[in-house]
Amino acid sequence: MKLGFALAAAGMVVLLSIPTMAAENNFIITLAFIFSAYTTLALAWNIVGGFAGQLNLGHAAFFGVGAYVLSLFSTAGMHPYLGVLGGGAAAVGLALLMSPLLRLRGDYFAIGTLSLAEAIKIAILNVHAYGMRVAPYPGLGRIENYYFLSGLLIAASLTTYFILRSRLKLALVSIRENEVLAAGSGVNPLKYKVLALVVSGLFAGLTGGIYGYNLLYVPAEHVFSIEWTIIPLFMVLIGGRGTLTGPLIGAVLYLGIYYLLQFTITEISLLVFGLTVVLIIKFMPQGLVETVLINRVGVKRASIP
Amino acid sequence: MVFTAEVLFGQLMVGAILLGGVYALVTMGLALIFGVMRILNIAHGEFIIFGAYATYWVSKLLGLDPFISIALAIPASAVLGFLVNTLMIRGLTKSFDAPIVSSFGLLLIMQASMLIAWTGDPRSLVTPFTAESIAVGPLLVPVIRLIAFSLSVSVLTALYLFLTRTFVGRAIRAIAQDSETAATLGIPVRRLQSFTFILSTCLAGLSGGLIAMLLSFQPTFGPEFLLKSFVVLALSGVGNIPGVIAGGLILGIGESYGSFFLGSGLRNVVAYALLIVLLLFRPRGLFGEKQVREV
Repeated sequence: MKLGFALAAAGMVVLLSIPTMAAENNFIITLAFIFSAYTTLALAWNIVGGFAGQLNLGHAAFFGVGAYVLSLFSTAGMHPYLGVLGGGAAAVGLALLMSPLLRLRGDYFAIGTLSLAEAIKIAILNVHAYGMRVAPYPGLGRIENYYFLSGLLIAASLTTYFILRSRLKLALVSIRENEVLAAGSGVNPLKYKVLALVVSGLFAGLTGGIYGYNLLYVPAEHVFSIEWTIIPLFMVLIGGRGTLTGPLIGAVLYLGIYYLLQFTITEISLLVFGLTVVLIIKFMPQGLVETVLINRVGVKRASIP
Repeated sequence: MVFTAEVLFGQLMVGAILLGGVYALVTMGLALIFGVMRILNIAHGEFIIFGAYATYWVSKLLGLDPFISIALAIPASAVLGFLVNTLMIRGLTKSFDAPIVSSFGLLLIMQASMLIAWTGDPRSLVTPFTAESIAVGPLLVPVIRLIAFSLSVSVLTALYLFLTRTFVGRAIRAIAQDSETAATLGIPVRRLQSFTFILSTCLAGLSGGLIAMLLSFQPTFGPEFLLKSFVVLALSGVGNIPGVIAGGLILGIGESYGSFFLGSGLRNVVAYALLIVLLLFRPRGLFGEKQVREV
């Protein structure tokens, strides 16, 4: 446990000192920004997909709505970080709008959320086919955005940690394992699933907002792209769902492999990458934390947050 | 020729119905795997595009008639399906999430390989019937679409008869209803699931071949067909072939009139809106049967 806190503190120090250490090297800061964005998205997806076991394939909609609302706020001349908060609020609204889909059984929930995300993307493409420009705000550049986002990442980690330590985790996991039995033992499945979706949507929407402001350009094709759903989902499943360690390890592993391939074998990187994903799922269907740390290395389950 | 509102309406309907039949075939492969193996195959669209390319290249390189090329593209799809099933899918069927992620990896592999091998250029296959139409009263029926529609409906009918009238077909339906009980009755569940997977890739290959003749295609078009299949699947419910045909027709009609009245950009929004409303009010599909909740 002490080791865990030491690691968490070390991680936080590294995360926050990257801009200083990188000496304003744009490449490293951009890379760290993308890393934090995906990791926050993965932690957010994990709340619904990992703890509650609802395969949300519409995660990109939260991200996209966050970015889109930011661009609207910014066009209206408001402070960009206020726009980011607005994006988070809009994503919460979308989560509430999506909540009737939570009544559906798992596979239909997956189809429904995927279609909803696509429908929103196409509808917005019809209004702003070429994307929206965002005006830069004086004094808020790459580095400030990075600090904002890493704050978000830390908040998402802490939220996950508190869920793990609370009765909420028991309720969500019981829904994941058997919804009817959970209902029979006094857990209101819909209530908890909606709560999980709202928290997940809030973080994904905020991430989308800050991402949009950092890019200074919000094309619907890009911010509603399915990759904002699938990559976080991969990170969670590679690492191990329903934990804090899982998505974090999964994110590092995933982006590590991805960029390694991008920089070495650019031409066929997606092909090799797809193959890697297939192999990881084939040999570690339970995720790295469960298959390697618990079953091979023999770390006690209770000691892994 | 006089273009009255009735003629326009009828002409749209002809196009809608003919395309809808092909949509039903496009969906059938996905519906089979979903029903029998409980796998949501995200790479289904890629199998369709693979069928389109296989048909295209057999026809181009060997100079064969496009319809004979389809007959050769189907075994190619079967081989691909066999390999994918043996190397990836088998052994994953126990959990629900793992095959989805695995099939997304497959989507990346297939899309990237097809882009590398055949570039992203849009292609389409010209047949002897491409520009032909039959006049039925005031309406024009494009011959190639009529052929594609008839072929789709015949294959779906044959599949329906196979699933309802033969012993193997009934065994497959038993697995779809309850694989554990089916196994206790001595049905070779694993072997029939593999068979179903290959059958589904054959259906995808065939529908891909037809699509190559109807539309222009490129390696990145797979997900669009996947989403169309989702819409039809939600309309029909799982394991219901007449429902799949009806669902395909409804999607075809919705798309045709949607793009006419709202513009082609919003046509897919109509389809997805329809899908979500249906999921909420008829989660078992428009034509699906009510089922008791499992514990």
